[in-house]
Amino acid sequence: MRLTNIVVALALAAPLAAQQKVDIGRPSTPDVSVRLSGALGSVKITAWERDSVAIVGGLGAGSRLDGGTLFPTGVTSGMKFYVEAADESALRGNRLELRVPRNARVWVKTGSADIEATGVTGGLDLNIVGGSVKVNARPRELIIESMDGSVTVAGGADFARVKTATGDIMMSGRGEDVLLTTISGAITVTELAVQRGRFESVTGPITFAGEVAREGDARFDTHSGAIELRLKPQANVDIEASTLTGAIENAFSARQPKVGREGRGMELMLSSGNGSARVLVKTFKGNVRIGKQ
Amino acid sequence: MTDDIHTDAETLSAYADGELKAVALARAEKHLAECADCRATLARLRSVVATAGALPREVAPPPELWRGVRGRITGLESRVARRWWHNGWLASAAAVVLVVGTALVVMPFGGDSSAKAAKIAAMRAAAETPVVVASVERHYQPTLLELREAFESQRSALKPSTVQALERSLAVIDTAIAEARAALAADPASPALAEILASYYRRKIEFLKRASTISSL
Repeated sequence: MRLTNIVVALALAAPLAAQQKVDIGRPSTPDVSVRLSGALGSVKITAWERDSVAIVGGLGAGSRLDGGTLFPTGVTSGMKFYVEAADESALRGNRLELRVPRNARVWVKTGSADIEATGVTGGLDLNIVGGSVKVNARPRELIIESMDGSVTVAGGADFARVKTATGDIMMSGRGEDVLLTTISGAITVTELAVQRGRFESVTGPITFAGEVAREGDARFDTHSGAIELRLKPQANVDIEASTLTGAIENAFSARQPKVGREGRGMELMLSSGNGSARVLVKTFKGNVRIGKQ
Repeated sequence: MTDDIHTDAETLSAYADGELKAVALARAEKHLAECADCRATLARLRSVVATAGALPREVAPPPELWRGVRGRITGLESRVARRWWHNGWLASAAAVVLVVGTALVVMPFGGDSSAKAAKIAAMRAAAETPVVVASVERHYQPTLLELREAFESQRSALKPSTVQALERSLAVIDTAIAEARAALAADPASPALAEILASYYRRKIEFLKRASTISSL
């Protein structure tokens, strides 16, 4: 990517001894693409009703912000920034806020940082190792990858892919196509209406207290985590649940689970309402509970 | 898009056996047309079925096999003391050997025909196990090795705490793989177990891919 460094270097190129103030602004297209990476302590992404991008905040002593726009003058369609820190202490002082048009696409990649995004309806692609991610928005596309960091999404997304290793995932809102996956973190879904969803873990528990849309499809899969589905009493859904060795408890209807078809574990098939949505639940040895909201 | 949501093993198995009804069949065919992973899984299922079908109905173990098995069991006893459960490969190998061993130990003293049939079934299961497990693992091991090397090559650039966190998560996946392998070893004719094992390998691959690209910051 061709990148003209014009904006940031001015006051920030040389490391300074104290906290450095960042205040950069540029007119942009409504769907501007902004990329920010490097050593960050916290990042706040705020959508505003302007066709411009601003990056404000402060950098720790010895840190350096570099980058700029794709075009030296005029309205930009892309900006890219990189932050370097002299040490861990300086990194924690690198606290930036990105103000972007609502329809912007924002990409952030960093180590351990707290990221908070509000109001963005374009796209968010956020990648951290530790820290946390909080999204209060409903972007069209939401991609979050974290190792230890927890992820909280209030609003959902048309297309969401959230992956963690040990970090917990919490989501609410509305989603057309949602994948939440973790190894040992907990997945908690509340008040989420999903058209097509996949929720999977290795050992982490999965709790779904949402809704599967008409003709929707939701799948829950874990090795040893417990799965709890809390569905609306009038849900229109067909449920197939099976375990290899785990137990299944049905508190949603009178139908009781039976021994699995291979002679082990348990399985349960039930239908509610017109059964237009399909729910599949599978565990190796995790227990399953299906109940009402 | 077809990413991430795949056709489950039971559906694929039913598809392979021509047992799906119209709607499910159409859904499966549509997904299979677009998804290389599921086509590969289907091919593996068909391979497992073909392999199982080709196995002899009676198994008469030669005497030298028992001597070898007894030697391996003796060798295993000392290795078991070295925390064998931490190693998925060893755990499954032990399971296979123990199943074979148990069948062979009991067989010479067996009486009625049902007991003999059970022993033969156990023998056949043990004989199939390596084929089934190897069939699944052959598909994933090269990629896993490459990704593990890539992860190791950047390991020194990562914070120790990050490396520890990654290793912990890999250990969790490996434990799941070991349990799935052992279950498949005990029931090698189960397509569901084969698919579970395959899905765990896919998770490990996906995780190693992510681990290889995370920030060193």
